Amino acid sequence: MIEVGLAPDAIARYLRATRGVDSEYLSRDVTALETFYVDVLESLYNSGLNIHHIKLYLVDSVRSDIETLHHNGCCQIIFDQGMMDIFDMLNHVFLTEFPATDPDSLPPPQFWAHALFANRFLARGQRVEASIQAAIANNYSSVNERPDSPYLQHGDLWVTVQSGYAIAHEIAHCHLDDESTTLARTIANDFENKMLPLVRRHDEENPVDLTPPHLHLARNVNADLARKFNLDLSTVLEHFGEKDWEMIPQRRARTLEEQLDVLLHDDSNVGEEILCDYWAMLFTSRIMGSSIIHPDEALVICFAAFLFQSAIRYFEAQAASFSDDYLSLETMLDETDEVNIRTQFFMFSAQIIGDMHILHDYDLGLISGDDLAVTGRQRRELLAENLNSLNKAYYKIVEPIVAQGIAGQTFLMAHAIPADDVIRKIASSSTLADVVRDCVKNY
Amino acid sequence: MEKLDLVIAVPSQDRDALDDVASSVNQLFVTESRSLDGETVATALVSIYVTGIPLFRAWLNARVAERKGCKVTIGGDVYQGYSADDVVKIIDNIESKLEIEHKNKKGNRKSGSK
Repeated sequence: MIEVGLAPDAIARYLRATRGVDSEYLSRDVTALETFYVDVLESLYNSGLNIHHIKLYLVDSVRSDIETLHHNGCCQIIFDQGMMDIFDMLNHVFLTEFPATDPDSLPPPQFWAHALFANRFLARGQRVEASIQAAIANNYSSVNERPDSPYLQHGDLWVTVQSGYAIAHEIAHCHLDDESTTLARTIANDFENKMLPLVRRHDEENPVDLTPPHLHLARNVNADLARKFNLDLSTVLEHFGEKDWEMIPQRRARTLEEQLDVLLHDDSNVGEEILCDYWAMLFTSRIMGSSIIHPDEALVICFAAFLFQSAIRYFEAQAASFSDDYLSLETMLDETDEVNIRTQFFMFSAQIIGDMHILHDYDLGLISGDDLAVTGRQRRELLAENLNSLNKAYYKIVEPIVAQGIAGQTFLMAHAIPADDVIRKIASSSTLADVVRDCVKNY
Repeated sequence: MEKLDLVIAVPSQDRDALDDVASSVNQLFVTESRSLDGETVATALVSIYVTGIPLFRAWLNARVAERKGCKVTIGGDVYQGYSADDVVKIIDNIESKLEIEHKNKKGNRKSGSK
């Protein structure tokens, strides 16, 4: 069993201290997730890998994250169900709202973004900021009905696959720590033989772009904010300091192959993250794909989970910079670069794994030899199309908010919502966590 | 004596600082914790008693003076310890929670003796 009530005393106390005493009461059915976890471990065990040092604990709190403790040779993975609520909300945003948005316009900040900011502010203990964001989110939600969506029929399934991906990613970290040789050799082999040809083709088709993409985006977002609050654009630019954006030094451009080469051989953790993305995607699509969903669809859902986790990280970083002021533009761009390279690698990996699925179906007799070429091509095209659509949706929906950054949030807090008595009352209330969770759940 | 569990997190490279705090609290374990963003921090689960509060306050203030800070989590509530004001908030919270704990135990003893 993987419930907090049965956790060892010290871990149970850790969970209560970090997530609250009520965090052991789960709000979602996790049977499918538990089965997935057991299947992953069984698969590892059958491959001769040690699994006894890995433990999983499920909790439910506003912290909404996944955390791994490394203690006395053990890996204790703590998965917080609040993250499932965020996955659910972002699935709705991506799958219902985006298709209806004019692709040529920048979507204005919607209440989901404020709900996510409220969540990340509270997760960091910034209660007043969380209260303001929750108030803005609730203000939006009172005028916007949650749109109907075909996603509603499969919502729980998507969230389960995405949660499974997040857990598998952490399990991969546990193995790269302890048994890097076995796993790294397998992945390095895939990289050399399957990944590099795709990467080289990409570099040939996409010459390196030296223009910093954020400058143009930042101007657009500022103009959008000015329109929204009926302000003179120069006032907004003055507040945000557009010159900061113009002073960004041109970052040395590298081909994708050069970037990957550096990442996989330097001491940063980005290379490890990329390997864990690959491994988690492979296992999640293979295990979930053989039981509850088509494996190619599982790949697309994993990609959504990856993008959503990137969004959570961005929002978290911006919430941190609001109080600590340590997040420079340069740091933010470094993080953007990291997400970009992981995203590209993820999409290449998905294609490779998709090809493995096709061959697997052929081996099982699900595709005949005559149909292999046609079906394989169709599946590849469909997979690539779905991945590209999701990636575009991410840039349309999340990037403007990232570009607007904490300056935009500061502006909103200073001008749009005064920190009055009501806000202070909410901030000091013991029910703030419930208020913030409702913001996320009510989308 | 009533006690309160709390978790203290510092950057990984400051792990030794968690040994210094052990004089004021009962340290249950120290671990490396990796979060969603891949950042690894050194984390300690500790129990604090009323008698340990002055020493713990001094440890927090020393961190602030060194411009290092820390993060303290109590009952799911997160407190950033980067300024003197933050330290006051953390200590106030610990004191109020220990007081509530103390009253609850006293109440339980009374009702149990009837």
